[in-house]
Amino acid sequence: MNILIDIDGSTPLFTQLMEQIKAAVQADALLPGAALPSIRQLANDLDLNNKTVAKAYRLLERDSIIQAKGYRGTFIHPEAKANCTVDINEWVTIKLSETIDALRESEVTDSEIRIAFANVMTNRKN
Amino acid sequence: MPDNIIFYFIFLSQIILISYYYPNQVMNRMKRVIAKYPPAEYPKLYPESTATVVKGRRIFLTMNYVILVIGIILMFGYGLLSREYESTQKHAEGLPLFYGMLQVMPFMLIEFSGFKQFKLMRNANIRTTRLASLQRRNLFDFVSPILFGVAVLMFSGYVIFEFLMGQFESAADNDGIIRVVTLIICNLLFTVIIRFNLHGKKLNPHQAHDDRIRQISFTIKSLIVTSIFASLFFIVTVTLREFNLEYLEIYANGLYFQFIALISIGSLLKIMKIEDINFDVYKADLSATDPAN
Repeated sequence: MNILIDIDGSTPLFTQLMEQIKAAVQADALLPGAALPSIRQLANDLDLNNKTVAKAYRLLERDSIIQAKGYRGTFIHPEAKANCTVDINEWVTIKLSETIDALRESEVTDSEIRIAFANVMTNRKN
Repeated sequence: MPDNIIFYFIFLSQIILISYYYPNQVMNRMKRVIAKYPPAEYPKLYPESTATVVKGRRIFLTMNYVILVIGIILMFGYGLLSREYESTQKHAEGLPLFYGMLQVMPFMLIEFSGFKQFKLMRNANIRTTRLASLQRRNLFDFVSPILFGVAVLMFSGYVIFEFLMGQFESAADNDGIIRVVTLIICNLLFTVIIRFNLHGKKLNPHQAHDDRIRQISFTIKSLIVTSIFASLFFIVTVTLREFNLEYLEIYANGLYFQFIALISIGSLLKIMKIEDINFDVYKADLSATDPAN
């Protein structure tokens, strides 16, 4: 199983990595429990920064597509195939829509929602 | 003179093997590659002009021939020197080792030149797509645990043997400590090279995946076998010293260097055959070709 990335592509490199690993899981090219290369190996093979691969791995782990097992390495999650179908962007959109609807019902204006959202995000970053 | 016939035979064999036979084999290999895969058809294989390649080849061969002559002079020098010693008296035992180090210099030079070529290849590589295998490379995918275990056992065995033979007792003669430290440094260097091969940067940007795997496998196996032979060599050295057979050390040193050359250069030429290498990746019209094939 190979991975091909386009360094000039419009899609961010870590997203390309994530999408291809997810596609491989869905196509059964990567089965549950299969070992993945270390961050360093994949970054060196693709001539990428370690941080880019680490970010892709971290997000895949968050989505339960892969699981890190300490010094033993990184493996495909047992429920990876089912978890691949979960669209995190869609889920975020639904959750936000629900919150905005609740705020509007309480007669909060859109500009107040925007300001509050920006403030919350800024405070979290800090 | 007759007492030294075995040494002359071993030393001459070392001179011919490392400074004549293998350099010519390497030269023939280079000539075959240029003839079979010319720059016009395989431009990516030649980041420098062929004139530079030919010049480098000439320097390599000249260096080897100069070293060959030095070796013959040293052999005569040894003949003159050995007259002053009894046949069972230790003398000039380091000659094959120091001369051997001189002999490997041209090979190290082409190795460094190879790194330079790969760097030029990487700089000239305009491909925007990059491909990698999602298969993890582990040490035991390339070498059997038994062979690795033998290397570890040989090293541990040697250190224990050195202690048992009491080579550390004499404060004035630190040979035992020097040998142990040398072997530790050698093995650490081998570990770094093995780790780089397993997880390090791909030096040749065009190299096909299968070729890379074969090259990694060869490098790791040869380093582990070299480590085994290095431990064995030190065990032999300690044994000879313990039993006052130090005058035989010169034979062991000469044979050791030839074994190392056999394992590294000899097996490289034999195992990594030109016919098995995928040269299509170096063709001009395959700039976007998948190097994993």
